[in-house]
Amino acid sequence: MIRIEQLRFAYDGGPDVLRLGLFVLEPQSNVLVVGPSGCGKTTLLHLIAGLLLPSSGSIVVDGQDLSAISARERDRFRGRHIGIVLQQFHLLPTLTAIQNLLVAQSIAGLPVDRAAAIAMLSSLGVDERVDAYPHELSVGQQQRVAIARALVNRPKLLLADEPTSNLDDEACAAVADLLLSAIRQHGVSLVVATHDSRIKSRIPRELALPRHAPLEAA
Amino acid sequence: MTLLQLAWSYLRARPLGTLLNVILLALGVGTIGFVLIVNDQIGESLSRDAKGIDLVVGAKGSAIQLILTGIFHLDVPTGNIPLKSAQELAKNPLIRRVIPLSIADSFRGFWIIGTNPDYIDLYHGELATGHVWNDRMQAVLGSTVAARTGLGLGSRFVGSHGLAEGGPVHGDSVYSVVGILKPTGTVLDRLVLVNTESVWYVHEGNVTDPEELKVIAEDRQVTVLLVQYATPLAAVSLPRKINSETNMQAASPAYETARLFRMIGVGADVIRAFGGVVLATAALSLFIALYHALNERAYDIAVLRTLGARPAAIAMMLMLEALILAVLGGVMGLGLAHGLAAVLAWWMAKQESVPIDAWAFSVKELWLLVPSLLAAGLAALLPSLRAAQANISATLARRA
Repeated sequence: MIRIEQLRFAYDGGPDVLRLGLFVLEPQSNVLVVGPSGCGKTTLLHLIAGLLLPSSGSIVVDGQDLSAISARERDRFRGRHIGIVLQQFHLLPTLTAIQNLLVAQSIAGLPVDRAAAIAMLSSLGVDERVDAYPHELSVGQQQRVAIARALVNRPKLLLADEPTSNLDDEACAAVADLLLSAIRQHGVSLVVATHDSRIKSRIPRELALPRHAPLEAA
Repeated sequence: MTLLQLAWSYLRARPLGTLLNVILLALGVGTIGFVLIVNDQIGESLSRDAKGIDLVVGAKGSAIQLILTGIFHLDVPTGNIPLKSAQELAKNPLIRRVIPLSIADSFRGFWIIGTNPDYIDLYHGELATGHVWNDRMQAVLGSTVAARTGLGLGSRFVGSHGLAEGGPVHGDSVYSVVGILKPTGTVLDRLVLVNTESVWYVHEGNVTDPEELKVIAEDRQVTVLLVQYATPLAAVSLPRKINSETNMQAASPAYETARLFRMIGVGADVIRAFGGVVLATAALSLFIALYHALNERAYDIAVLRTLGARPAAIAMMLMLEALILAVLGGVMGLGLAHGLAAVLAWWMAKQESVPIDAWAFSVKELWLLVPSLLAAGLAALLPSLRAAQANISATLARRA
């Protein structure tokens, strides 16, 4: 699903922020990216998502070398093949729950399929409030809608950036359960960047990034 | 869920700001549109009235006054000219037709014009009822006069001297209405038409002594001559000839109307410039709103990018917001322009002045959306570009 080789990333003219010799993630498998704050976890996620480009080396996602295609194609690839869940589970506040999913279909250039969107919300247990605006939903419901949005275009890869870091133990467990059951149900690989040790027990495989140091795959 | 719907959702989410920007755009477009509509309508109305008249000849004085009197009947005459001079001029081979107008009296604010049936033909006037005069003291009413005064066939009335109501009344000379014209959309609608002899009769009294009549006939006058050229070449020599060789004055309607418009045009330019200032204010307000939106929505924009939105799509979203406002403001502005024109039309109708059709829409008005779209597009340009160039990775990392 993901193959990273001889990856090096630095901001313009700066020192290397991230180096990674070789990392491979098989389809339908999961990995935790861990390490101290500032070690480049989020950067790695953004590189895999094609939001950043490596300074050197290659990242191949689902058979596609992200450096080999244009920015436009990268945006399209991300929209269709990669789902992203952010720390705040941020929903677009001016759109209803269902519209947050429909806009994801539309932006990815896929046909707007309301039935599919409702089915996805249903699989996450929030199909009763599809026309509610984000501020009308509980935090838990917002998280479910955000995960549904990340999965609505049937990506094979889901990236989650610190999904549990601001949550209490109970909510943390709920979100972890939710993510894992969703990816199992939809046959998706999951990469979670986190410094939250509470979910280590659920995703055994770890990619540990030390601060500013070269590293081999775990 | 298209970009358009997305843009609209953001506008709906802050209704007051949206309303303010739409109102500002509408005021700008409305002001400019008002000037356009009124200018157009007055211009059309004046050119309808002046159509077919190549030259106006009257007593010496202000050329514009002569035109205002002779064609538009908006001013008092500069004086009269001897009938003999008029008859002399009519013999000139460069002239095809001369229509004499004798203007002295009015009825309830409408001028009574002594003339001949050619004057009705000039404006393609048709009788709605009755017939054209066949004797003195018979009157044909323009449609507006008939409607406003309530006079009908057989009604009798007297004129008063000058235009002001309540002026000296010619109480012993009673006109009777013999015909009423259909509306023509020209000055004809606002006139009372009689034959020239009627005007003489009213002012001379009933003279029966043939000797006295002969003396009086020598001194008879008319007010204005409407001249149609026999050949375009007449324009070169005839006005100059009249102005230099006779004690009459010749004025070209086309030239004087254009001059008049240039004079009014200064006022129109001021109003139009004011509209421009309002539009610029609208653009500034819109710019500020979108610039704020950039900061407020930085994270939304980043999320859209993670969903696969191209930078161009993000720019387009902000641009669409501005353009939606521009269209709404533009359409509201057009409505406002016609509303303002309607108020002016109502006021001018009360003054028996040039009629304005405030609700006549022309395709040309759609051009008024251009300044609105332009203002909005310019306002959105920089915010759109900045949104497109935003560093998504950094935005996402900041919150994380």
